[in-house]
Amino acid sequence: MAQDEKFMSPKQQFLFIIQAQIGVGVLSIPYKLSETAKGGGGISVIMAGIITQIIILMMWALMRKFPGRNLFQICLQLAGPIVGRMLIICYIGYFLFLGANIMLSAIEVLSRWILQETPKWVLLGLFSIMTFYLAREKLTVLARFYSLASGLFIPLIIFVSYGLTQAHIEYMFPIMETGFWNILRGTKDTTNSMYGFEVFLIIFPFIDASDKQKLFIISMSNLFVTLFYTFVVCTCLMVFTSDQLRIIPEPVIYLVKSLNFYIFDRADIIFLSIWSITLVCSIVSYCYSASIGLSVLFKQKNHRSFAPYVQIAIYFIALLPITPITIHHFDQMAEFAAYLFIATIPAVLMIVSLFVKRKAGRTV
Amino acid sequence: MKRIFDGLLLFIIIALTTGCWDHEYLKDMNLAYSIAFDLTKDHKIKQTVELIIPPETEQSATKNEIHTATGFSTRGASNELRNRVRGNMRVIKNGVQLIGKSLAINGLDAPMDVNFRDPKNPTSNVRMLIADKEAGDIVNQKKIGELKIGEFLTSKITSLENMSLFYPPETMDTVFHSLKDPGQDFALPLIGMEGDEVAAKGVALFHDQYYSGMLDTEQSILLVLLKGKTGGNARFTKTIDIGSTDSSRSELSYNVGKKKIKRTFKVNVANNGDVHVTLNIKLRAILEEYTGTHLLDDKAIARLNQELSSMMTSDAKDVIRELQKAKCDIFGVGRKLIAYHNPIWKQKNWKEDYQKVHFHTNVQVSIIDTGITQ
Repeated sequence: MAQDEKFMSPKQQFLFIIQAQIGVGVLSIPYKLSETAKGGGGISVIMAGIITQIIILMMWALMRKFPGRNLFQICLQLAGPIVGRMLIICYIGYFLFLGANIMLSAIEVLSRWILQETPKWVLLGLFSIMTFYLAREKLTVLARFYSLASGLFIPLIIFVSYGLTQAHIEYMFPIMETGFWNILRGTKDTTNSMYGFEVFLIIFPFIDASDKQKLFIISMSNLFVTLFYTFVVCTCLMVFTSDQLRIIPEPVIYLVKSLNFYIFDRADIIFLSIWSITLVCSIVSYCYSASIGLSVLFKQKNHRSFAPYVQIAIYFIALLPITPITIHHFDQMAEFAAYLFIATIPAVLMIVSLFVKRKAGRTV
Repeated sequence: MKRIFDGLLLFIIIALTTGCWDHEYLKDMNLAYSIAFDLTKDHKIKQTVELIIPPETEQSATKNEIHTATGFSTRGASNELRNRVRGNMRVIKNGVQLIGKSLAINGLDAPMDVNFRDPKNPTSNVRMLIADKEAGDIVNQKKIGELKIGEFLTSKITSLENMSLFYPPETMDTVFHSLKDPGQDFALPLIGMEGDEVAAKGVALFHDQYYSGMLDTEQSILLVLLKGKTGGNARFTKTIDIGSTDSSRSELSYNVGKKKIKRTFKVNVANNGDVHVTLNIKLRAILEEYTGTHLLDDKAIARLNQELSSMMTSDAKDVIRELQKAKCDIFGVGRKLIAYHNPIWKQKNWKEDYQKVHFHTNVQVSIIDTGITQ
């Protein structure tokens, strides 16, 4: 065991992955899908879930060959000290970048909907402080916090379900309006809301369960997230017409805003306040992963001392883009980085591991 | 050292997190309760706003003020208005938005854009009204009886809904849905001045975003019933000739809003591409007034049922004729076509083809209660 971490229980793993996966992306999936899949948005989400599941299977196949090791240690072992180190640096960069991207999207949404006057650096700072305090803690602390925060899914789901009172199922039909190809294209837009499950590569050794159980649980998390997204997307498709979705970038929040709760207006403020906690969990997962990467890189036992640097880096990366165009480029870069780091590199590592299996078995 | 650090941290946190940037004090705000928009002759937007002024002493009631400004757009007029009122005008408590007929004819998209774009503007519980002449004139009444105009309009709408003159409630959000839906149009309550009183005139029908026609009050109630909805009461008064012996005509008042309405709504496409809509409703009526001398026995009631059914069916056909004349697809026939007959929908030019839809309407009335006298 590389670090003095306690193990987390399978239940915690389930909630951990869910919290890491559900991020800011889902708020705008229906909008992104309005260009491509239209009524078939639900199918796109389910297909994105299936693709995620395939990647998870591949990751699991890689991880089980190296018991007790996380992604970074596997990199070192498989690719040797020099290439391995470079890989680790790339991964750290990726985690920093994605963490910054989520934080940026989160404060973009917050500043557009609620905190219009508050400067960006203050919001980023507040988010950074929150994530910093969590990211430097042990995994078990994170897991406990995530489990606690999972209780907040209940009000979120209730808010969205309340939107069903305004739903017209006819808005969703015809489901196959744009054809199968466009639904597939919609899948691509949805996949980047699924990111977050890659923390599995880091926390894998710290779960108190057999390999098969771990696979089962992460699959369950993925199933939950896919169903949750499908539910949200279908609700939005039933509430808004496709012409409306084209002009509303965050339909989920708009949906909550348009609900009539009689005693208070602007339910979106409450919704976003709750949602922010889920977002913090996503960001923390990336910060934690990056800090762990640094601790492996510098052969330290504890990642605690690296957390501040990670946090400062994320803060400044998120401060960089200002105009909507640069933010869009940022998003696209994150998407391609994810293809490379979530799918391609683990696949290559897995193939390499097939050839060096015996060697690996000896060193463990 | 640690204590100093903690103290410093505490100070920074307190300094940074109190109030933040997005705070607004209620005492600094002038809340608008009702807003009216009109189109002036030189195609500017005229905005008339009722502002609520907090009382000077605690015990006294609030007062309202009316202000008017013109501008090239809705926001433009608001900005102009902000120059005139003291403090900061805010629409966060706005409950009613009136739109003058002249503006409604020119389309609602442009004047309502700001309502949808700015998240601070409420939409979920804001009712919309169309004024048959100038909307500003109605807000300029300032007070109707004891009530301030905004409160009056809000309670007016509630009572209209209760009378099924207008139901289900259209808020700004539901209007937004219909505005952006090619297969669904909407209607809004139409009010106007009658002497010193503000009276309901019926409903204003919309095609796409444009005002295109109106229904009178009785037709409005029938429209609500044809939608299969009721706001609790739906009263009609008809003159009817029931007796075969004496030719004295009698007045009959009945309420069909108390009971559930059975509605069948089917959209079919014939082989030649014609759209046929079957729209039937079954109403159960409670007799509230009958001035005739004839005893209402079973036979008479059966006759009344028949008579009322045929009267209301022909009324319903009139309503649908008006709707088609105004190109107002309020039942969402187009939406059904989009959803279930998509290839047909794509061939249609709905603006024109809606008027060619064949409606098959039938209203069936059955009296189930005559009160405590026969």
